Amino acid sequence: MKLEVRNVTKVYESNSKERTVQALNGVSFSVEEGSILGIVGESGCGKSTLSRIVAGLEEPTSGEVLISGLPRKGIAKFIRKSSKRPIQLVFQDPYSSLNPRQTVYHAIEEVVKIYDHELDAADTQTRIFELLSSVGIGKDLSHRYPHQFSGGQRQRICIARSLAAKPEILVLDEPVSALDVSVSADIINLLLDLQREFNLTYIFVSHDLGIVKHVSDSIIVMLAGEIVEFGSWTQVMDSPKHEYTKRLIAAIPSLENLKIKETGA
Amino acid sequence: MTSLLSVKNLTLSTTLDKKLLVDNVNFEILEGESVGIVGESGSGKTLTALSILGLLPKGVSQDSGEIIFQGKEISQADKAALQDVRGNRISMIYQDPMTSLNPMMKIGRQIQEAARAHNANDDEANVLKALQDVGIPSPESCFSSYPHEFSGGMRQRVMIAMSLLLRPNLLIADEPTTALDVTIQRQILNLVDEQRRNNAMSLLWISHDLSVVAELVDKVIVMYAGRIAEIGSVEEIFENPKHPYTAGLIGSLVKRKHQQKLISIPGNPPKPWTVANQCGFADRCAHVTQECRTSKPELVGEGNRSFACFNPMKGALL
Repeated sequence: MKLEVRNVTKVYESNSKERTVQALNGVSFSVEEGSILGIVGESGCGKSTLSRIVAGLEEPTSGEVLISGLPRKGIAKFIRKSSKRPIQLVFQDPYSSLNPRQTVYHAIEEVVKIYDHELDAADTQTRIFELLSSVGIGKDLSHRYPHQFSGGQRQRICIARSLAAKPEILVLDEPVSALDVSVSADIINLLLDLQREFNLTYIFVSHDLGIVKHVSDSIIVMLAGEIVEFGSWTQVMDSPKHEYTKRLIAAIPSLENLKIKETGA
Repeated sequence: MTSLLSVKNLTLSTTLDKKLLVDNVNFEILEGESVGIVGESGSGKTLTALSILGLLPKGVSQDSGEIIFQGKEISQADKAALQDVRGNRISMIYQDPMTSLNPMMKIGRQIQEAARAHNANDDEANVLKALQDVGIPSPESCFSSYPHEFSGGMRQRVMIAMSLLLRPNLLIADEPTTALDVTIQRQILNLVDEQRRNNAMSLLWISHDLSVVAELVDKVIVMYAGRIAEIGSVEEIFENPKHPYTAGLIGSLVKRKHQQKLISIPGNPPKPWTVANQCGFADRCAHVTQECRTSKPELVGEGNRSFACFNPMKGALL
């Protein structure tokens, strides 16, 4: 499923309309089916607003989002009747994205019952276990509550929950920034596996160019609500055009920048 | 070089149910040395730093251990003696600069107030110079601004200016760049490094990110599940890690081919009190033996190069 964003602008106004914030200004890009698009930028650059607009949680002030060539508004009705959602969103904080009073089994069941309502009880259970095992959570853990899981496991559950809607496009808004270093590599590996297995399209939003360049086929660099650089990952990393991209690349802490290399030890 | 601070046998636990949080931590910071503590959330790195300043949160108590600063034991010191050490000789900057500054008070006055409290020079000229030293573009207008008028990076600069004004011997930095954007993080790292060299100050930098620490410090302390897993110079840690956890952390930094699997450590870090009598890393370790689950590996080696592992890694990783 191809996603196209055309000239999207988003303006937030204060109640009195005296103050306005231009969060996005004329943003256009497209993502091919089955590819990973990374979006980087610093806080306040509009990357989260953009991901919320793509996922349909916010309406753009002007411009449009096309899914398979159809405007997102036009297909809203069609989507509602279908047994799947084309786009799902995974958030940064796995602690606040799950209902603390619901077992993991029920959290997933809720979604499965919407999109696979024709399944009988036994098949529903099979589907739930299948979703959990695709993210590496065993059946035996399904009766647990969110607080009994670690951050990494919770993020896995959030991913399973979004997969329950059988999406083709997954918008990942800083999916590993709340996780410990040793756990985040695990989640990245899982996301790459799932992407290949289900031929998903990812929009991977992060402030960390180090991670984005590893996972993405193409990269968008945003600054103050505008796209300042857009290209394949090799183009952006090897021959950045914009000054800001160059600064971002220089800021990635890497083994090459380490003291040990400087001192030649 | 002489020793500035040494932490000896520091053990911390919860006051009520005596859950072990930090287990027998020993390390030393020399004068002018920069040291980094690396660990994941819950590894005890922040508690260790807070206990140096006698700032342990309610509900956490020090079971044993000594903190010796410039030859004096300070963990049992009274308030007045601690007040002399805090700020004057050991300063600390925190993760979130917004909550460290008073939102109702202009920046200049806050810095002057801190200076006065420590009987330092609170002249406007002196404060302006401090602000200028940390690279704030127009110190005069900063002096009469409120914290909310500044970005996170600028606020962190203000905090650094405030803590350096008193010319401390040791600056403790607890993840001061985690809340900041990467390009700003780079600027703050460079700033702290420059200030440390200019002022011949010691630095204790706490972070979850090994790559950030490695660019800034001479010596690295890796903490895991409330204990020190490994201590060594940056070069030794990176070129010849002994503890499998350290090796795993470094592995996850190593460049992989585009979209290839990253090296990761399976599982999750345990709570320190659940692994009090065994190696905390046993469940995630590829080199685990029976011994690791029945007894606790002690830190072995000399002061500057030691590790706590029964089956240390052999040979270079990189």
